[in-house]
Amino acid sequence: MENVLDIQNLNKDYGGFKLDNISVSLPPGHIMGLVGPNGSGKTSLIKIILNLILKDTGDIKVFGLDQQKYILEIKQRIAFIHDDHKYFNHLNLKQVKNIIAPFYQNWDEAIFNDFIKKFNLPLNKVIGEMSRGMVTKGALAIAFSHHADFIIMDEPTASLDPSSRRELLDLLRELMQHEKRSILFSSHITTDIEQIADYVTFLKEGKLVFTKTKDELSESYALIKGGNDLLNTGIENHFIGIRKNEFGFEALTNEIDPIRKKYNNSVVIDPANLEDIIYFSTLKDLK
Amino acid sequence: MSSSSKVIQKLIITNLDLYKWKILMLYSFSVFTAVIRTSISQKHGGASSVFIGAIILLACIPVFTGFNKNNRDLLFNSLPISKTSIVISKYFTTIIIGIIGLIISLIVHSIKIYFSDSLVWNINEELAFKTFAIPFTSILILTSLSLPVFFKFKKINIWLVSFLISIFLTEVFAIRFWGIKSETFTIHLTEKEVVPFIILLLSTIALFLISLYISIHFYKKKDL
Repeated sequence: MENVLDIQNLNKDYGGFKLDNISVSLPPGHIMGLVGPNGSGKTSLIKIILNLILKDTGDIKVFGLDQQKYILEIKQRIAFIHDDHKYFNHLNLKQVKNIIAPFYQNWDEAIFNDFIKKFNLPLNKVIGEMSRGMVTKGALAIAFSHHADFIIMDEPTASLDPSSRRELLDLLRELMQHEKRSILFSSHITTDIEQIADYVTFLKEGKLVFTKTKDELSESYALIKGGNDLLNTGIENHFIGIRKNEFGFEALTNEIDPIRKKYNNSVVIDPANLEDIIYFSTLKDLK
Repeated sequence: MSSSSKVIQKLIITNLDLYKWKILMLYSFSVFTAVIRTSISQKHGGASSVFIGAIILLACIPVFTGFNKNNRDLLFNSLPISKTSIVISKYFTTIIIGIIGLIISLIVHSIKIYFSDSLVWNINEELAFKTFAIPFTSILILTSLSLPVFFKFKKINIWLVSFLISIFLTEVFAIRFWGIKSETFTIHLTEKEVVPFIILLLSTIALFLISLYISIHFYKKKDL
């Protein structure tokens, strides 16, 4: 089955910052988490997919269609949800719906009303007076009402409190169980990504560090702990990032087998979670 | 009607709806200006409407700066709407707001003349033509000069740009081109003025179309 998103060798140079040779694919029916520190290029990548920013070189296909040539057809099947709702603060949800709905050919008023009931959203309350969680739910209701096959969410949990974040993630999981939609979800909150993503794409300073399934990720990376005496043996050549203290070191590696062969008795090898991977990857490069 | 025309129509309606309070304030201002105009300007309604036109446009162009400030551009561009449609809709919204403002201003001004002047209702065709045509042309020129600047730059003091352009236009248009001296405003469009005016109108429309083309080009290349 055709990928929902296919990005090949994407480049975009802003002068001081550039997205460098990014290649990412997302099969249908899956959630991809886009992670990386602030300024790593997550939002730029999303904007390029939506043609809000023009790419310099590279190929982007959405639903198998060229992203620039067929952008209007693609946008009929995409929903973009982002964190900045300021422009709607003075409008209520019904007014927002009335602005957006006419531009979609497949707008389904019945589905919109169903979601409004399901999410218990007030139609006549202005956005500025609604909680962030409610606003995000409202955006989701709009996304589902035009039968979006691909939902792109830029930092949707960034300004939510922990319970609203959990609620939103549960909701997305629930909706994904019954639907064949795909979601691209950017966040710098790694626990959110770990909870719902099938694929994780990690960007750092505009470069693609990896794009893998969650299973591949847990098989590829490990935390290595050991004494400082080992640091003279060349073990650091296997590390991506390392943190040292007077008692020893803790490091991230993606060369688990060589370490296991050489140092099995002298180090502790623990599974690395996403936060570990990002933390150690953003430390100063060793190689 | 083609689908892109329908989208442009929807966008214009959306623009007018989103900014209805600002637009109403603007129209209240144009009514207020028309009402308080002095008896001197009553005698010279045609020329003084240039200023009303400039004021109206000064007020309605910055309406669109809200698109950048509040990321509204981002919202509309994430919907299935082409950048060309967005640009065209902004041009026509500006023109529509300006024309409605002019009509309101002229109606109020005419009503005032009717009730306060012993000359009664004597607006002849020439006066109506000139009274409307000058500010209408100035609105087209102001729009044509201001909006490409708006589409080229993300952040710009559009008030300042509009103000400078309107000062320039007032000078060239009202005083130099039309031969109007501030002491001797004329009302009637003389036979001698008809041909230059038609040339000016056609040039203005050409300028408008060139400006639209340039703005579309700028906006298509613009990163949001």
